[in-house]
Amino acid sequence: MNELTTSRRLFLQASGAGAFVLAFPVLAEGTRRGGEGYRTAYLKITPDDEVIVISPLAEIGQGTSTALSMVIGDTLDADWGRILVELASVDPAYNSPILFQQLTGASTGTSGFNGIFRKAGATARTMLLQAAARRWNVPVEQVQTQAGRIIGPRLGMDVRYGELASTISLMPVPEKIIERTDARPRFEGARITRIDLPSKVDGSAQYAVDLRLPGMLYAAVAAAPVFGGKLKSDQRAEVLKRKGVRGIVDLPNGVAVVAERWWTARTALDALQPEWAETPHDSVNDASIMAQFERDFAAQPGVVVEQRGSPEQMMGKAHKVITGRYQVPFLAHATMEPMSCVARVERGRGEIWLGSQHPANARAAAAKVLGVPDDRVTYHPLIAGGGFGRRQETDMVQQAMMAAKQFSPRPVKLIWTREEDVSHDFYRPAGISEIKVGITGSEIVAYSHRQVTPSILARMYPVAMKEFDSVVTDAVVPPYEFQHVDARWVRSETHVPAGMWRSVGASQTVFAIESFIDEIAAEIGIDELALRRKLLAKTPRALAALDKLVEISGWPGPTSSGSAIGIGLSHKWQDCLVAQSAQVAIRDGRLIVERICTVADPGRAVNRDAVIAQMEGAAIWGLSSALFGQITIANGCVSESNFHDYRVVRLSETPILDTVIIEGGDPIEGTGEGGSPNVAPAICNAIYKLTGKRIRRLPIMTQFMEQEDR
Amino acid sequence: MAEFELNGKAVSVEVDAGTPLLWVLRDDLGLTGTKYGCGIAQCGACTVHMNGEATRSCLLPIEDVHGARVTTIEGLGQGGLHPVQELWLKHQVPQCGYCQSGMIMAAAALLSENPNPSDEDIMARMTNICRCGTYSRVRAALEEARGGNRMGAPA
Repeated sequence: MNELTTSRRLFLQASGAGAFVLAFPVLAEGTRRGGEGYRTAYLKITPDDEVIVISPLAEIGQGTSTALSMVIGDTLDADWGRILVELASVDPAYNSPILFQQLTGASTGTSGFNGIFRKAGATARTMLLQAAARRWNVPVEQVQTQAGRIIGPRLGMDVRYGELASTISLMPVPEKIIERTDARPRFEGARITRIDLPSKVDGSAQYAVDLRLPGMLYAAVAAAPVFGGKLKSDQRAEVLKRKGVRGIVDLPNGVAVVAERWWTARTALDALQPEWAETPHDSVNDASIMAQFERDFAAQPGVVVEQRGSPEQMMGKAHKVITGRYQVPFLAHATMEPMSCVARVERGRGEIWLGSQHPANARAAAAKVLGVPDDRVTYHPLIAGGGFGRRQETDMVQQAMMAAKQFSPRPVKLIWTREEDVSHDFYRPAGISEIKVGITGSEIVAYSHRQVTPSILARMYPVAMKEFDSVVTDAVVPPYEFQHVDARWVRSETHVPAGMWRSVGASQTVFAIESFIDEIAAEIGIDELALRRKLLAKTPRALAALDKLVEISGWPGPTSSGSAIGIGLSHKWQDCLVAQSAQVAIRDGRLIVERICTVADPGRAVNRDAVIAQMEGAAIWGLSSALFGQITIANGCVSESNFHDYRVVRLSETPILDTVIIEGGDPIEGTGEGGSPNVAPAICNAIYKLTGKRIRRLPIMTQFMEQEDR
Repeated sequence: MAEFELNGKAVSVEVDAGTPLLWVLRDDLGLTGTKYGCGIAQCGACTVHMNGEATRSCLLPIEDVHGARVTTIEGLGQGGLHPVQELWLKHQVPQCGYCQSGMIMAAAALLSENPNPSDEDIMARMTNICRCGTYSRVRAALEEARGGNRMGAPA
């Protein structure tokens, strides 16, 4: 096979898409130098016309590398075929304007950075125009750009960006930006093949698991099954005699085997037969955790998350008060690429290779192992096989660095087994949500929502932790027009680690709210759409989304075919407004989700197809957790271990997905997570229509079976 | 020692007989397009073609590969892009991309046996797991492959 031909064909067939390159050290803004082209933190133009977009965001499949390239492509007026993407290393220049740190999270990638990249592209274009005007001694108004070239008013006045790149690197940043006014089509809004896709269809994309360095060793790890546990003993004397095994690394909460090949390390790990010391958590199980939640819920009023009007008074005066209590389990991420990291230590300096959603923390975790300042560790970003919040953590970095330190200067590649990945995650926390509304006539006069869950922020981002955890309580008050509101949170910690998980708190709160809205509608005696429309009368964009949903979903749906359509609507923090429906059938006792329709309004979609992909993916994410998702705690540890018992949706269970994006106008909002949390309540609402049974505990499948058995 | 044909070339490897083909491909032969996802033949990220059939390589001992013809994602296109890879690009199927080598190998094997697979064939054969949730685009690509005939809802 001719590699060159292959890559060239790929390149052409990707509709002229730019290439995807790995990062090399980046120069921050203000360190532009002459002679080597134009170099800033976000954008470089090389003397040979390459336009290098430096993405501050991890590329975990969400496609932000392409979206930011489209923004640069338009504002710089670049030739799309010359755009390359580099993933950024660690630098304050890459801190999110929304999250104030270099963090790929909360769906804030494009919404957070598009403004910076617009400015970066437009600034460089302005300087190119100025430089050309000066070179030709003509007024700047008489020069224009044209896809990577600058054209002047007279014949022969035609220069490539690369020819002026070094010149503009010495120019002062212009005070006034010259905006593009030409009528040529823009990349934004067009259908563009994502820049990372060619490498993802021919197998050449390189994830941390794929990195191969000279002299590299491989590590497999086993952490204590009970979180926080310690190693008591193992069979290392025997294991060390095995061919290819290079050593054992003691970790704070476990043990790793290092070998010349990963399979050798992995099989040696089985032979190691680690025994674990007793812990105070050895008898914790789901029932004891739920009992603790119930106890804390009964004993504490909870801290106020949001309050308006006089909820207590209005609740007291209401003709009727109805209550719904909803429960969700712990959930794992199960990214397709299990946790992995390559690390190397040489002469007191460290290097790490991985796709991290939080590079500064990853670097700090590595530096801490070495006892050196953070800047003695270099972060080499790679694309990652799924993130969903899991790669904001640094546990895999610490482990890889401990192994690398022991085997310095040889690099060590750590790859977790799937079993390790499922049983040592930072889980979407389990919890209980109780909603109470006061109803007088057909009016909802008071809304109260009380949750009990563990916190996430307290461990991960303590500076962001208030009296309450704004992440687990996200969307606890819906976008409906309620005058009198009381939302509270009861903190109840367990020894099970809790972390960010695509859609996080909304996956609990929206399940409760959007299920209960249907319960309220039934109580009042109006249909669920009419109730939502009434409560959103002053939110035209939400009404437009609902109207579109009705149009594409066919709600209220066929009554003859044995299926029913349930709906939901939500607008989580930093993410877009989403109205969603699930068409559900029950055939021969089997629950089938036939179709999910999604209407999302992110304000504006930079890469429309990628936004649709995010909605489709989020729907499947929500569907997996709604139907099957459950991490069970028994004897202090996770019972599930792999995809056979931590079940996720496959193609045969994939509903027909219909997605419509409405661009309701600026500002741009996130699109990564909003398509997920309505799925569970929409399905439960449809099941209620079909069976009259209300499911208040996830996952649905276990509930559904229990109900069918009765 | 195991000898087999890999992407059209004869290879021989000196590894323990029980080593799964996946790890021989990745760590001994340097072909990392085939991925580890579960190690128990559940997710399909490790799918290769063995004698033309979609085969999960994570549990397949190298001794059982002796004499076989193996194709990986790197060899699927034979110098260009395989039509399935072209469809994957056209429909922008991959997100994180990690499962897609296996997904593409499963689809290519399915279509080579039956260029016009039924909904049931597709559902039975495309059992690979994708956590990004790209299934609807996998469906769309396969619908185009079978002449634009749309798939129905799951039944």
